[in-house]
Amino acid sequence: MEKRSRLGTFLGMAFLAIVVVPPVYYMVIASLKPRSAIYRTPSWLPERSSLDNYAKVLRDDNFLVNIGNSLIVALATTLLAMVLGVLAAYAIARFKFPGRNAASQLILMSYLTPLVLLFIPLSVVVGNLGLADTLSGLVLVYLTFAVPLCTWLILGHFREFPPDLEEAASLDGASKMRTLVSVLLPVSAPALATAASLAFMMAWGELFLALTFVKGQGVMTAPVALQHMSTGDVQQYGPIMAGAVLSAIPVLVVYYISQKWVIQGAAEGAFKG
Amino acid sequence: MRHLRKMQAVGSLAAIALLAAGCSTPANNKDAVAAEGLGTPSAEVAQAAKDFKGPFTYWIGLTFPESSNDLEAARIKAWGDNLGIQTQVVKVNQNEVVQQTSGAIEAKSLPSAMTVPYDLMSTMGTGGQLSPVPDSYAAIGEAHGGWLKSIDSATKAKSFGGKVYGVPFGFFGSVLFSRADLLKQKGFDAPPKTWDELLAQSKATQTPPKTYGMGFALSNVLDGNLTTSIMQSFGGRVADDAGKKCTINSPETATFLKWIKGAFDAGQFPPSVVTWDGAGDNNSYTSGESLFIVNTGSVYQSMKKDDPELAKASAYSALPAGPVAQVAPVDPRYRVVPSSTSDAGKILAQDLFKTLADDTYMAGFMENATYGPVLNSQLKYPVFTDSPVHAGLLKQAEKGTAPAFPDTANAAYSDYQNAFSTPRMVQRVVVDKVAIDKAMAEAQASCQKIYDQHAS
Amino acid sequence: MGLLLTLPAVAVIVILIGYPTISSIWYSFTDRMVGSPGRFVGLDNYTRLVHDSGFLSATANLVLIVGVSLLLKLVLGTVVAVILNRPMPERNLWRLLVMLPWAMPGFVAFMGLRLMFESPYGAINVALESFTSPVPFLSDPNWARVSVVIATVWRGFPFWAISILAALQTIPKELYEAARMDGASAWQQFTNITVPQIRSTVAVVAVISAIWTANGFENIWLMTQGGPSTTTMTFPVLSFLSLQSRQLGQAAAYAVVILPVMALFIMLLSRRKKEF
Repeated sequence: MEKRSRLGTFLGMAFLAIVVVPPVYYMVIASLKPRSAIYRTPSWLPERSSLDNYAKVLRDDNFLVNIGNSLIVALATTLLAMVLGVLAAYAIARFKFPGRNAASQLILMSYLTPLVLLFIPLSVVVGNLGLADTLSGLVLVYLTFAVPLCTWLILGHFREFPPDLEEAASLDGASKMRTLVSVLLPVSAPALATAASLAFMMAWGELFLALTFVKGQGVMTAPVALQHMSTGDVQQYGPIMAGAVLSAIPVLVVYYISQKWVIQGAAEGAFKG
Repeated sequence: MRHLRKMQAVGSLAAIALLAAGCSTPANNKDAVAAEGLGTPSAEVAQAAKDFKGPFTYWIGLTFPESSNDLEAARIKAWGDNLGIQTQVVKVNQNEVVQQTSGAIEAKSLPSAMTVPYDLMSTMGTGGQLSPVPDSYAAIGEAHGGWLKSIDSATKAKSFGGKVYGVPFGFFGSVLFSRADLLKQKGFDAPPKTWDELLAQSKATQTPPKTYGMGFALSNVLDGNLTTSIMQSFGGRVADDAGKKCTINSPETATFLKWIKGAFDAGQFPPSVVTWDGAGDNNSYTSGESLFIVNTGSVYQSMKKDDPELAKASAYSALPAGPVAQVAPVDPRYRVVPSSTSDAGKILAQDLFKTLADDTYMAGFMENATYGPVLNSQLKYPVFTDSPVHAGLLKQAEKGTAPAFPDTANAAYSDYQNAFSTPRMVQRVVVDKVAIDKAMAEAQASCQKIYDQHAS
Repeated sequence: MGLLLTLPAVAVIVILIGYPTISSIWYSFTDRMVGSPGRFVGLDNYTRLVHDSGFLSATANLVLIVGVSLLLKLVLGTVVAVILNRPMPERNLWRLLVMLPWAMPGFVAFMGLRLMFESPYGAINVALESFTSPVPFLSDPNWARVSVVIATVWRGFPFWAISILAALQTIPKELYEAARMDGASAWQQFTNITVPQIRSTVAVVAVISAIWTANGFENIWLMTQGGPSTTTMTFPVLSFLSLQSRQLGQAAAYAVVILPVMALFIMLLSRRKKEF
C-alpha cells in the first residue's frame, strides 16, 4: 500500500513535469539565445547562451517601468473586482430580491461578446470618460472580465457552503455583513484566493485591449511593451522571451503567497467549522 | 549542490540588476542629428505654439530597427522643445495601426498628427478624417528638388478628388532576396527577371525538405498581398478603371491561379507558407529554408546584425515581371493631420513635417531604417549606394509602380487589400482544393461587397 | 439589501459591457464602417454568412476546436488537480509549476507554442529531426487543428486545475476516512465523494472556459491566423478580419451570430443545474 502510493506520487510528478516543462524550458533557453541560434541553428540545448537579451530589455527598453504599470493595473483590477464580486455573489447566494435571477444571468451573459469587437464601443465609453491612454481607463476596461469572473467563482463556493452556520451566527445577533466577513469569507479563503489570483493573472497578461487603451510610453503595460519588441516583420524572439520570464516572476510570487494564505485560511475555516 | 545552484541564480539576478543600473549612456550623435537645423520659428508658427493647448501628440509608425524610431522620437522632442510646446510621441506598431486608428476614430481621440501607410491615408482621407495639406506638400517638394514621379502620382491619385491628404517621407518597397550562393552552384548567375524564370530556378535549385524555392506568404497577413501584385502582373485586375466594379473573376486571374497552384503542387513553396505570420518570410529565410523571399528590406537589417554571412551570400533585385506587366508597388508612408486637430495644431503639425523632412536628419534616419526615397534630394543619401538593399529600393523608386497599379487606387482597393482577399482566394485553391472558378467567384462576391460599401 | 449589494457589479456590467454589446448588435444590422454611421441594411450581413466558407469552417470548429479543447481541459485539469491535492514533496512548488502556462501573458504563451510547432525550425521538429522530415504542424489542415487544440489546452488547463484544486481542498477529510472504513476503493471514493463535491465548481468553470475558448482570439490568430485557408477559422478571427477592412457591420455580425448559441448553452446548463 505504502509503496503503491509512493509510486503514484512519483508518476504524478513525472506527469506534471512532462506536460508543463518542455515548452517552458524551450522558451527560457530561447530568452538566452541570439536570433540566429533560434532560427538558423535551433537546438534543445542552451547553446550560445548569454544574458544579452535581458540586458537589452532592462536597459534599452526600460522594461521595469512597464512591469510597474502592469502591477498597478493588475492589483487595482483585482481589488475592485473582488470587492464588487464578493458583494454581488453574497447577495445572489443569500438574499431574495427582485431581479436576483436576472442579475445572475446578466453577469454571466455579459461574457458573451468577444473582446475583438467590444473594444470599439468600449473605446467610445472610455474616451467619453476622459480616461483614454491612462492606467485608470485600462483598469475600468479590465473590470469587464474581472468582475464577472470573480462573481461567478465566488458564487459557486458560497452556494456550496451550507447556510446553517451563518444562520447560527445571525441567531447570535450578528448582522448580515458581520456574518459575511467573519463566517463566510474565512471558510471561502481558497476560493477567494483562487478568484483573486486568476483575476490578477488575466489583467497581468492581457494584450488586445491594452494595445488600444494604453499607447503612451509611460503607461504601457508589460505585454504591450513586449509586443512592441516585434517591429514590422522582425520577431525579436529572444528579448520577448526574456521579458516574458521577467514578467512571470511577479505573478508567480503573488500565486505563491496566496497559496500559503489559502492553506492557512482553509485550516482556520475548518477549525471554526 | 542545491545551494550552489541558488547562488548562481542570485548571481545572474545581480548581473541583471547591474546592467539595468548602468543604463543611461547618452547617444551624442543621435542628439546632434535630432536637433539639426532647428531655426527660429516663423511668426505664424510661434503664434500657433502659443495658442496650442495640451501636449502635441504624434503617432509614429514603429518599424525595424528600433534606432530609427528612437531617432524620430528624439527629433520630434527637439522640435517641440525649440517651440516651447510639450510633445508626446506614441509608437504604434505597424501590425495594429488599423485596429488602433479605428478605435481612435470611433472614440474621437486621434492624435495631433500621425504616420500612416498609404492604404490608411486613402481610407481616412476619403472618410473625411484627414485635413488636406496641399501647401506643405508643395513647399516640401520644392525645398528638396521635387517629389519622385511614382510618389507624386500616388499622392495625387484621382480618387482623392484633387486633394492632398499627406506628406510622404519614404516608401516601403519590395525587394527580391535570393540565395545567390546556392543559385550560382546551379549556374544561375543573375536573379530572375520573370516569375517563370524564378519558378525554373527554384525547381532546379531547391532540395526539399531542406530548402524550398518560393518563400512567399500565402496566409492571412499583409505579406500575403504580394499575390495581388503577381496576379496583376499576369493581367488580373481587382476592379475596373472606375474603381467601382470588381473584376476578379477573369481569365487572367484564372491563369495566375493555375500558375501558382502548379508551383504549389510541385512543392516549390515551403509547406508552412499557408500559415506564416508577418515574420514568416524573415524566419524562413534566416533559417536557410527559402531560396527566394520578397521583403521591404527589414530582413536585411536584421541579418546584417545577426547573420552577416547570409547577408553577403544573398542577392537583392527588383520584383520579377509577369507575362503582362512588371508590378512592383511602392507603398509610401505619409505624415497626416487628422481633421479633429485644432487650427493651431494643424499649423504646428505642418511645421513639424517640414522639420522632419530636413535632409541631414533624413539621411541619418534612412540609414537606420529600410525606406526607399520619395524626394529627389534623398537620392543622394550615402545609404542608397552603400547598402545593397537600399540600392534596390532606389531602383524601385525610379522604376516601381504606383500603389494599386494597374488598378485604381481608392479606399475600396485599400480595404480589399486589408482583408487579405487575394491570399485567401489562393488558399481556397491550394489548400481547400476548390475549383479555380469557384474560388474566383467567391473572391469576386466579397470584393464587390467591399466596393459597394464605399460607393454608398 | 441584496439589490444594493449587486448594484455596483451590475452597474459596471451595464455600462461597460451592456452598452457596447447592444451597440454591436445594432452595428450588425447596418453597413457601418469605421468613422461613418452607415445605414440600416436589415439582415444583409447575416444572409451573406451562409455563402461564406469561413463561416462554415468557424461553425464546424465550434465543435472541433472549441468543444474538443474543453473536454481535454476538463480531463487534464481534473487529473492535475487530483495529483496536486495528494501529499508530495515540495507541493507548493509543483503547484507553482502548473501555473506557468497561465502565468505568462497569453500572447507570449502562444508565440512560444508557435515556435514549438513551426516547421522546419520549430522545437518539436528539431527533436524529431533524426526520425522524420519536418512535419507541417501548422500548415497541414489536419495537423493545424490538432496543434491549435493542444496549444489551447496547454494554455488553459491551469485555470481548471487550480479551480478544481480549490474545490478539492474544501472537501472535509472525514468524508474520505469514513468511506475508507467502509472499504470503498479509490475509484469509488472519487466518484462518490469527489465528483459530487466539485460538480458545481466544475460547472461554473466549464461555462466560463467555454465562453473564453469560443471567444478566444490570440490562440488562433497567433498560431495560424485561422488558416491554412479557413481550416482553423473561428468567429472572433472572422470578426477581426472584417475589422481590418474596417467593415464594422460585418465584423459585428460575425460576433453576434454565436450569441444565441452560447446563450442556449448556458440556458441548458442552468436548466440541468438548479444553481444557475
